[in-house]
Amino acid sequence: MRSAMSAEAESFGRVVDEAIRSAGGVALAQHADAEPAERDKIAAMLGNLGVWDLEPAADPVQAEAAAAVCRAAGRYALPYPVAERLSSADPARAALALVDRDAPARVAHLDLDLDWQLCDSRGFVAPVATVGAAFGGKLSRFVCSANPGAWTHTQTDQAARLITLQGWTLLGLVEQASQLTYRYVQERIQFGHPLAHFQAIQFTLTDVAVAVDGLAELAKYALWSSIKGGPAAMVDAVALRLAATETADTTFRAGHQLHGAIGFCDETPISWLSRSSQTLRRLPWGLSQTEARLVELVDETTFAGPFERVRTAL
Amino acid sequence: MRHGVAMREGIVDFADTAEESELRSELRSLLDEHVPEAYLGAFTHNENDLAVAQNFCKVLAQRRLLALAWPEEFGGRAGNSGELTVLREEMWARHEPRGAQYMGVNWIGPAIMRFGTPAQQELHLPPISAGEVIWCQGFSEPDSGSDLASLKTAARPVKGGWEVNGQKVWTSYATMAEWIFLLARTSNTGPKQQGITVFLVPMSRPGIEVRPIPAMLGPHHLNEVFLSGVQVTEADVLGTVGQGWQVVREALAFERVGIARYARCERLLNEAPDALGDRWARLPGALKHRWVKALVHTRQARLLAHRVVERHDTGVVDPRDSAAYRIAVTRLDQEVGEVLMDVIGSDAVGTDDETDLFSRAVEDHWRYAQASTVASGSIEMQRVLLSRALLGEAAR
Repeated sequence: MRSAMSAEAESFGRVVDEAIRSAGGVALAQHADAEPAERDKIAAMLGNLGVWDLEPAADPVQAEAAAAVCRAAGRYALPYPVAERLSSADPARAALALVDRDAPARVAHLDLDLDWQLCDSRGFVAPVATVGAAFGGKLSRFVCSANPGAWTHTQTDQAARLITLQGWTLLGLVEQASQLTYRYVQERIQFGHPLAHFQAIQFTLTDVAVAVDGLAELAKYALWSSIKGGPAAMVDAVALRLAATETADTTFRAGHQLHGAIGFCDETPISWLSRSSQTLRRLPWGLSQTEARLVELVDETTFAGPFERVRTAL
Repeated sequence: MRHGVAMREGIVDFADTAEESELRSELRSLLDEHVPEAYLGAFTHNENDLAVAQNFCKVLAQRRLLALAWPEEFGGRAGNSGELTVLREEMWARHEPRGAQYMGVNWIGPAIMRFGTPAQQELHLPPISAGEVIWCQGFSEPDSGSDLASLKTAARPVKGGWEVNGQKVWTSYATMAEWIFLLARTSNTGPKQQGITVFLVPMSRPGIEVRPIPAMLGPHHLNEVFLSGVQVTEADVLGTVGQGWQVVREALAFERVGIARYARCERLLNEAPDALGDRWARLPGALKHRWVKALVHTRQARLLAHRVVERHDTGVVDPRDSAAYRIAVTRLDQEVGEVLMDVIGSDAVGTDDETDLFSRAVEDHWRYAQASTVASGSIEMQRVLLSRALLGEAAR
């Protein structure tokens, strides 16, 4: 077993992280909220770093690098469809969005000038026929409705890679939100002590830490599985999505509660991280729908592990 | 790539190595051959279950699998941490057919290797690796649970050594153990962590009395050990007199990962659909959601265990890692217990169908899991350790 990613991939992730941080970090979300065209600058910045030259489908180390990039993008709630581009057939100009074919298609950043394709978790893909205007809400600043063109059936590997990379983006979001919260409770003094002095707060944050640590390991597992491909990759990707959504619930609930009122304000990064996480947690499925999909997938195949279910009558 | 680094290096890999795969197969063959399908652990009222465990330990020992990770000179085969993890997983998934002996090979033996004299090593290590001896640990006392360093069992100096008086409690396997890894206080000066000494004492020594404590966990798990005028000598001391706390801390570091609770969770969760047959399809959707979430949590706990092992191999010992894992796996044990008790419905309270092995295993798992967040360091203590790692001085 090797649970460490390659040094090159980690190094590339650090380069991207540093570039995003230097460009403004979470403030980029605020800038794009005020001026949507700011997203083009983000695309150019990532392009200059070579992010759109990555070929995650072709090379395992580049797949790891893509994951590290998504994690970095998540840490700053970067208002750009990084996972969606990196899981497309051609990251230089295309993007892939996951939708539920039984529900209205809603996709964040669909208004960007990219060659968008829609996919579902069963191996169907479709072009985008028409795109509506961005909703513009607090949780849906760049979410647009889409009308799909004709659906065709293909492999699920690409969709599994997308769900996995979105999981890595959520990992970055919850890592940053947890770190901000750990720091805040060490600095904020009430009743003559830092909030971190109180055991009720300590124990709340141990739940966050255990969830985030478990998610980080699971993200690497799903990445490994997506590199191998095949039906198990989708099961493992949806399992990652389930854990990422659960972890986001735990982390942002604790983060908001412990930041108090300041955590809702635009001046605090956790507010932007929290609202940005919503599209990843709700589109196209929330937690219950993700669980339901995983039940189906495990029933159709298996849930891999040393003691997995072995069925002779499949 | 434009940042100029050619990407050609080792990547994440969660598959068993060829050696680990081979070991799993070997262990599964031995389990199938020597452990009955209905076996639910050594600690039942059926004496045959203990006999199965005692025999299986010898079977493993003959192949140098019992103390697999020990050096060859002490009866092991110098297995690596990955192989040791496989051994732990395969054993726990089948209700730990090493019985009480897992403790001897997991940490008591390694502690004797680390701190013992050549004479102690010669006396104790061969029987442990040969599967011939059961140990118990004389740690907790009526007034010293999580606050173990406050223990009061006293070793008073007498001619030729010490006389030990006091009481231990919750001592698993004490009724069947031949030796006790005993903590006693040899000095009352200084901080409470100082003045504790470890003694390796045969349970047959005069002055030791064991009383079982009936409990919902089943027999043998909980006992009291009374120590009245027990004579110990310098030859019984492990390490240095008064430095026992250091021995315990380091000894328990061997046991960072502990028992692989996640392995039995994974096996039982995966057995559920086939065990229920037609009833599986009729389960409420909400229960299947809990079941599938438990599968995900099981994988997470396994990966966290592997992280501790892997980082330990590279020399990184971060209390955060082991505390996070312990919290995850002990909560998992209880989560899986609750989910599966709901899955088996009314069979949860017991069944008169002797062939319903799954329900019996689930009921056993649930009872034992009640103690998972208490035994070997409560979950609250793990949370305190993790909080300090996360929040530093502000958490004190």
